Amino acid sequence: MSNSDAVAGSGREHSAVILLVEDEVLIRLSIAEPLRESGFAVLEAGNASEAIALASTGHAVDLAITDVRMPGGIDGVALSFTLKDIHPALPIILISGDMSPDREHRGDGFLRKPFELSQLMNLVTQLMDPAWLNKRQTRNVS
Amino acid sequence: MAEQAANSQCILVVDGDVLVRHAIADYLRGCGYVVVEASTTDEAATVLNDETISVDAVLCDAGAPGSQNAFQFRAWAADRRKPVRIALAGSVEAAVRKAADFCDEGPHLGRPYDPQGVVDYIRRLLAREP
Repeated sequence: MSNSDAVAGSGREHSAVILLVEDEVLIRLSIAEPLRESGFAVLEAGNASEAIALASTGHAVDLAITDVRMPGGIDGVALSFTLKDIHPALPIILISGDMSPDREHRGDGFLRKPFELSQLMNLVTQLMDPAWLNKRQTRNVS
Repeated sequence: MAEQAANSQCILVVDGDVLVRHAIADYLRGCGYVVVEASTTDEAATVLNDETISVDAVLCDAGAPGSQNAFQFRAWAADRRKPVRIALAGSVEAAVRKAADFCDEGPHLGRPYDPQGVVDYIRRLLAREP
């Protein structure tokens, strides 16, 4: 989705967009809401298929966070390959409690569950395009 | 979600189609609501059962997947200790109309978007679905 295509002419600024993929609804919510409160727009997907559907619409996505273990045929690691095929420059954070360190993936960052939200925010800040962060900080100050 | 209960009204959107759910949720967020998204009636029940989340209303696709169908889910929710308003929608147009009704009653008192524009947007999203 281009900026001009943003939902039905809301007139809202285009925030940095995070695609969040997590099958546990309460965990997804506990991650999504603090991200929104921090000024990010969050696209929520409950599994890899939903994430691919969202990413394939052309919707602007600036960073993806995905759980590794998810139901269905595609887990978070496989999803990291698919998302990179769709958006090669997309930074991806994998989160897992039990992923083997030897497993090949296309993630740019990794968090082991359980983690503190501050750890996630720090990683998001490290990986997000600096242009977005500057814009967000300017907006927060004004 | 702890601050949500005190500051904002919360709507739970239940729809198995992620593109429709995303568009409706985004629309409602633009109206000032906190929106919780659920892809199935089971996820929706999990949210309603969580005492830390105060849901004021539910907008549920009549064809939402889950172990309960949407009508069973509505009946189950009505029997909860804290009843919650449940709006069922049988089509994208109906869902957007109901969302627009929520916006008319909502925190920002007014629709930030044209409902038909939202329907058109969802149609475009669905047309691009792989």
